[in-house]
Amino acid sequence: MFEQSTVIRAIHSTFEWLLGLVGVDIEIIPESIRVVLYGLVAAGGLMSGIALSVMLYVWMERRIAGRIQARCGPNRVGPFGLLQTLADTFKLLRKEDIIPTGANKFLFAFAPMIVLAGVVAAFAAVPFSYDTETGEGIMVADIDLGIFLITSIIATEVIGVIMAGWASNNKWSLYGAMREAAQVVSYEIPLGLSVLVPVMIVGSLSLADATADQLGGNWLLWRSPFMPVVFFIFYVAGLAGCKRAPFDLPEAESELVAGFHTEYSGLRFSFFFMEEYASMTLISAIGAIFFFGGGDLFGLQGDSAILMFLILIVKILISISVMIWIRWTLPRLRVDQVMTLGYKVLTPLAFFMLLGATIWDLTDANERILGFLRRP
Amino acid sequence: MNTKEIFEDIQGRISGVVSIEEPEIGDPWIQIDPAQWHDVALFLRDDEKLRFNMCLLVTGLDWPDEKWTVVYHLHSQEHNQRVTIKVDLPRTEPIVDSVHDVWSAANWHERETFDLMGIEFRGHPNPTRILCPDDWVGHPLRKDYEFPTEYRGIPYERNEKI
Amino acid sequence: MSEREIRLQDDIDRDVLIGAGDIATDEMYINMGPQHPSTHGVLRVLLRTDGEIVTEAHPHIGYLHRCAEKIGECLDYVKFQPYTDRMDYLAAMNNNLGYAMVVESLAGLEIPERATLLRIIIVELNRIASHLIAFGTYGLDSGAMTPFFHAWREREEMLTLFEKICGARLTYNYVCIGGVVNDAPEGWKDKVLDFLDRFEKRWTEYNNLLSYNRIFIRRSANIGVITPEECYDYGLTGPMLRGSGISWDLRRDRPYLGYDRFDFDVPVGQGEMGTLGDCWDRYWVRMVEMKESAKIVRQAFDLLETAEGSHKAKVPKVFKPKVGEAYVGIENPRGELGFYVLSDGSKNAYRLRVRGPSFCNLSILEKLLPGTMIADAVMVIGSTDIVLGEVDR
Repeated sequence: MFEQSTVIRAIHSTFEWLLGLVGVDIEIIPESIRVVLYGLVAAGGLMSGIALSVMLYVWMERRIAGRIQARCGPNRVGPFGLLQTLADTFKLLRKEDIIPTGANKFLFAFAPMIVLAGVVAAFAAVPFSYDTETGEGIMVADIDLGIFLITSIIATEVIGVIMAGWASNNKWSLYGAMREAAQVVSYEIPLGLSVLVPVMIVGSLSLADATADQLGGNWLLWRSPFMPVVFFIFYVAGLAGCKRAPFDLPEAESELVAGFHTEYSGLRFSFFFMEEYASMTLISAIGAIFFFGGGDLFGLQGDSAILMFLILIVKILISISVMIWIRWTLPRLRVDQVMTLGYKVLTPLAFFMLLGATIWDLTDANERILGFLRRP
Repeated sequence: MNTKEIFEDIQGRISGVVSIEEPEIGDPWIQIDPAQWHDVALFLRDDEKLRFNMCLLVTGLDWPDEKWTVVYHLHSQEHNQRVTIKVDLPRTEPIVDSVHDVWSAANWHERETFDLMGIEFRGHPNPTRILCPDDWVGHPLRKDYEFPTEYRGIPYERNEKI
Repeated sequence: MSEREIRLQDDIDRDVLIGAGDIATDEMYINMGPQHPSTHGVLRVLLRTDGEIVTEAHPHIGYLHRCAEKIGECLDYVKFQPYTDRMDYLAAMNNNLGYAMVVESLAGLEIPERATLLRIIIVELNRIASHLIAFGTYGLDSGAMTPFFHAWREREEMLTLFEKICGARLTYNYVCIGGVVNDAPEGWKDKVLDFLDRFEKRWTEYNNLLSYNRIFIRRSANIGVITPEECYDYGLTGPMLRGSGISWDLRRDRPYLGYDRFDFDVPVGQGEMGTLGDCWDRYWVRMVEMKESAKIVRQAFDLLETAEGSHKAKVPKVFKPKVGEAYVGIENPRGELGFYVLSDGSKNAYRLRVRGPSFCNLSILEKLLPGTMIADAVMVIGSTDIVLGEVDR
């Protein structure tokens, strides 16, 4: 396993160095224990990274929303109100943890963890940067099935939401959970189909391979005329997948009070909150890697892994800003309209795009057209 | 048409129209016999010349030791005219025919009149209280209404020491 | 077909649609309110739902009941004036005006021209403020939060203008029996006109942001359709009535305060985006009415330049109107606000009755909601633009 992933390797060598300082050989720890240990360290790292970035996103969301709505937004705690989210986190931590009388206590407490765990686990297969020397993505688990793992693992989030809605013993929560189930399950189809097109062009399910394939400005977005449409489908389905407006039906605050998390408070509520932003990040990251070259900026970044990491972060931030912009501009769709859009518009469109892109790729249309144009 | 003309017009055409009253100031009204009120209401709504197709307001009046009165303010969209109808009820029996089937708007107004004034409407589909809680005692707008000292353990009387 | 047969046929159609026989569905009761984000106050609607579809709806009201009519009987005429603010608190000026007018008609008071014009200016401004809330909260109901804040920004400016003229921001008690409490301060007119200029520019922004948004149109068109017959039957007034294509406005058709002097249009629903009388039509009527009100305010300011008289007529300290009764209906932002006062010659009213337009407009919910989805139910309730303070009084 140590050969597989750059991050695990880095953790291994750090441990080796640390233990070397006190003169202990790392090999005396059984490998099975080390696997768990390294996994925990990596998970902890991911978790805190996500938690920190969520703070940034919440601040961004509130500031951008403030600008859009002709008001200030938080600007008192810390510079530009940056610490407002931290203050709110403390407030949430100190809040009373209320479990409704009629609720199923176990499921009620368990649901937020499942929801968050699913999304955080998916980040294991996301390459945050790329090592050009060894040709590896800098990621926790560099597995060949990359995107397949991600899409399957985030599907577990639905289970958590249904658990939350059902265990709350609240009809509004149940409505939210049912809407979530219907919506996320139906939007996984166009999402999966739209991801299939870049996968097909790259010829690999691994996100690291996709990054490698696009270095030097060779972004997938303009590899084929179908890609912009595919990206549109991906983005819309992704928005629906992370329950963002205009697809925020599961928590539609004007209809279902707060949807599936109506009965949640304090820390448990913040888990749902984090999950939303984490899945936004995930969708943005996949979008950036599969369509916009990941950490590549027309080759300007050279071989620097740190620069590639920063470029990817900037792309994610831009994508999240667009999501925020959409959220504070559009009204919400109705549940049947969401279903119609998913099943009658996006899914057939995604199929056509897949078909078109396949034919385009099989016939080497790019080469033919370029060749035709270059003909003297 | 003003109220007087309306009265003169309908007097001969339908029975149950008792009289027209004109107070010192303000609006005149037409007095209707309670027994035939429902028929008159239908007539007022459907007649070509009248077409009082909107019921604006239903009001209950309490005249202690004398009578009850139900006041209807009607409006005709077609002819842009209004009329006030009063139906007097005997003191002992504050019951009148419901006109919810003539004007649906009367439904809630009648419920409110029942709730606050205690006048019953015969044939009303849902003769329950609308503004007060279902277990409220008495009808607050009656002149002899005594304000309760408490409701479900919530005292009304203010402690003098406060 | 009888009603029962129709219902049976509907059931069969629906069963075919959802594939009944395979799946057993069950209906459930669900309480929308009194604590719910989009019931615009403490309205409670008991819904029976089949999945997302509402099959039955029962509005329950009275959570804000203060028995204002009893208070009206216990206080003398002048003292009841502030209580009218608390009914329709979003259009308190209009309520003040309605009550003042009914008492004046009982007492036979003549109102000076200047006071009349000030009244018109202030109630039309209040109509804009009230419709701004209707616009903003309707955006909220549809899930768009930004229009609400934009509307609030303009309303904030209006409240500052109100504060300048009467010192209060919500419950004004400005229009009083005999006129208005005080004259407009120096420079107020310019501030108002300045605001109206800005407002009219922003009105276009609102439309770009919400009115013509495709999602919003999809959400609000073709639902909650009210036919003209239903309007009459349920006694609907104001934008609810005009939304169904009936051109009726008390200001134009039964003029009071000399509204017939002004040149303004009465917007009616056209069924532009869907069926005539749907939620979008009602919403649009309110949007256009804001512009018309602005027009009236401008004209009233022109007349105010040359208006004679003071801002208030001479009013006796204690009213004792003669025996009689009066009903006065005025065009409130929500519809016809009626005050019916019965005088027995004493200093208190013998009976005071209020026709709250929201109360009547709300009663049609029982008919409108069945058959819609929960999300639509929210939109339909929003399109009635109720103020619970007035429904419950």
